Amino acid sequence: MKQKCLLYSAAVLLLQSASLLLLQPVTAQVAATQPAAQAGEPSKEQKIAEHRAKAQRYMAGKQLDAAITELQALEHLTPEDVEVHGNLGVIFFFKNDCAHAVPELRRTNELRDSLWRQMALLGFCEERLGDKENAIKDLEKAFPHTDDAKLNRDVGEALLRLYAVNNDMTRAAGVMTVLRDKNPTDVQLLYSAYQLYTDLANEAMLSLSLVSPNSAEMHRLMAHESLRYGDRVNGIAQLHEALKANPKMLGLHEELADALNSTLEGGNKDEAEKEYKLALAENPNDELSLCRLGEIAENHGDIQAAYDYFSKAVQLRPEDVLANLGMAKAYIAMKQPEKAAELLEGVVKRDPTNDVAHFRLSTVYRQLKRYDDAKRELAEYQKYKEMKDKLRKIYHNLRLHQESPDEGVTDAEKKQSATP
Amino acid sequence: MRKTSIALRLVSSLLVPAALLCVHVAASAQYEIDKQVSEHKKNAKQYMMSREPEKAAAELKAVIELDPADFEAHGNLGFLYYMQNDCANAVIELRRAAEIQPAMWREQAMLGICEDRLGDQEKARPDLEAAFPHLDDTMLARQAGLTLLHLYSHKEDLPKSAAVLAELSEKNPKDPQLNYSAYQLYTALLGEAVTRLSVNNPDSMELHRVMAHEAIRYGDRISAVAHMRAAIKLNPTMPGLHVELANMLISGGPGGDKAEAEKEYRLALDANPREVIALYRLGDLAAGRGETQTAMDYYSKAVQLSPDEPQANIGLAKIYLSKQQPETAVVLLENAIKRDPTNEIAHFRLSEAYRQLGRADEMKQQFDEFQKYKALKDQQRKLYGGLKLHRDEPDEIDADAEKK
Repeated sequence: MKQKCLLYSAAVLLLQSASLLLLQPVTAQVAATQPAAQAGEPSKEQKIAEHRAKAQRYMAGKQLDAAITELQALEHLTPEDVEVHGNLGVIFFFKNDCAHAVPELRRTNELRDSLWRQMALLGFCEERLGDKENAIKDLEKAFPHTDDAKLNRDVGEALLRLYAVNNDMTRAAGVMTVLRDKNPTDVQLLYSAYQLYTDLANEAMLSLSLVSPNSAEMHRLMAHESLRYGDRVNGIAQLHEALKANPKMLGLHEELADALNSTLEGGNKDEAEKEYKLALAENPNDELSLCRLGEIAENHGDIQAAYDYFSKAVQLRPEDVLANLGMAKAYIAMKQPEKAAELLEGVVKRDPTNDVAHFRLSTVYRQLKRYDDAKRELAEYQKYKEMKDKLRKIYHNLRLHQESPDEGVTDAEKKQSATP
Repeated sequence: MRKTSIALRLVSSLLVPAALLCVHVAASAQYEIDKQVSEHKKNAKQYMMSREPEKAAAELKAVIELDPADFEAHGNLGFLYYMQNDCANAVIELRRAAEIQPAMWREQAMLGICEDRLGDQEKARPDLEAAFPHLDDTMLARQAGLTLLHLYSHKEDLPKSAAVLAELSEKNPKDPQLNYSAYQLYTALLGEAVTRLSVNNPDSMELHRVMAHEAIRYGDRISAVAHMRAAIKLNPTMPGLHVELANMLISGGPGGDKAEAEKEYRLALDANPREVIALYRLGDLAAGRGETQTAMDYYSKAVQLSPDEPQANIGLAKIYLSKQQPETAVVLLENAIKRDPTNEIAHFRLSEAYRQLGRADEMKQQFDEFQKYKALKDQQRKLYGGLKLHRDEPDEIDADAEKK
């Protein structure tokens, strides 16, 4: 059913924009350039012109069977005419007659290999007829060149179906990347993406378990799965195992620190601090560890240390949201609201949905006695917080847990902000 | 007039030999330079082969002094620095090589890797993007690809990461680091898809479908079935939903209900009579009740529609085996194995078919294959068990039970 719709829509699309292939208005041209026919017997050229004119008329009037008769007569007279084969192919496709469409479209592409729309139709028909190999070949050729959004999507989806049959998920991922780029909010595509990426993640997981079951990578993977499903204790244990298997593996200390940096079961803030410091010793440019250490220092009330960590992180990555948020918070504590406002305005510009930035900006504006701005930012904070709470609820229902440490506006901040 | 022409002839007769002499001198000087360049290059090559990088570097520097535009010398010197982890010097030489002679992919890849190591990510990215698709050297391609992945992760450019990873994984299917990167990337991408669905379409059929699959993965069949029913309510004609619900219901354990599963498979078949999964699952259910003829009808139709579908072929083969018609069973099972060589049940039943045919060697060979793939699948089951995850597919018929 879906495939029928697809064929129909693609054919309509082609017929609507048939200027690409529709026969050129050559009647007059041929008549003018050819010698006059002998009385009673029209010349070949005259016959061609006549069939062309009729075919054009029938196609415009959507009398497809009559158009086919004319085009077939033309095909007999001019077997190498790409337009004739192309039009026949399109009409057969439009009539859902793939058996007849395929030879015509194939001949069209043999005669001229850059007719991407016709190549796409050929691929659709080959898929319908069960010729998966040729369908993949033709659709792959057409996919990067089909400019029409609808047709491009249809080609991409056909490729995804064909790759799924062949279990060729890697290629499917390539096509999905392009489709998602062009249709970022398409719900059906988002679901297909979820399905494909789940399969790919599972495949990678199984592959790793077979190739290297006791490796640091495998323990790291198991840690992520545990953390994803809320089992922090096991997640931390697996990260310790990973470190044991490969103490020099980049990023492990930071991941362990992130897992530990929680007030929930299994969390241990002191241990987390140690691990962030180890991560920093391993890579002094690790801005995430710098930010986390900044937060920890700030929680200890050591504002200068917090400022030092955050400013180094901002220096390393001037656009880092976490670093800018942290540094702004340090400025607020240091009673320098102008500097804080500048940083927070930058964050909001880059990430307008950042609820924490809006909240801190409202605090800063109040300190600067910009009450209208403060009110606006508080409203924005509430809007985006509500949105994120909804998301959290969905994630909770999905039993998925954030792997990163707890973030957001702290109770202390709220209390402080409520103070006039 | 005549005088002028004589004078000119005289001058030119003097100038031509002088010019020729100059050309000769210049040519012999150039010859001397070329000779020295060639000698230094030869020495550099020897030192590089004998792994004496300092001496090789000295020879290459001598080449550059004689001919500053020698891109080969710059490239090789850059390579030596790169190999010694001296990125600061490598970048200078490799960049110079790329300026003189663009499209030296190996050199450009090393340049990108070094730029990344020096923290110059803005320059590293275009260099690596340009070089990566052209690299023949597997090791360098892997390093360049991993660096690109690292750069994309900073920009949270997941789609681009996916494209690079796909290429890397194809070339290095058994590389643990790449397997892990793939897992990490695809988990991030699926998370991104779920987030977008949650933001844009929180009450959609698709999000309920996602929630159902996540629930089944976590072992909560009851919740999974509820979400799948909610999805069907939102879009009753969506192809595939009845089969997915039936697959969740058919398993034993809490939340499972075989009678309900059968109903759903029938609904799927009503909506699409060519629904192969529903056909062979209904065949399985009929076979389970001992309704051999009904099972055979379902399986045959499934095989007719999809001749290489393993489950349908295996189901039908089992019936032929029970009817003592092993020849037909062999054909069907070979179909199944052709499509899925790791299907341990197909191997097990093929060994049974060969036993019935008295072909002892083939029977043994198939039984060995069965054991090999069963061990692999047990390992996978163990992994899932260790991760407290559940496979998102119905229980397969337990070949072990049959073995007994």
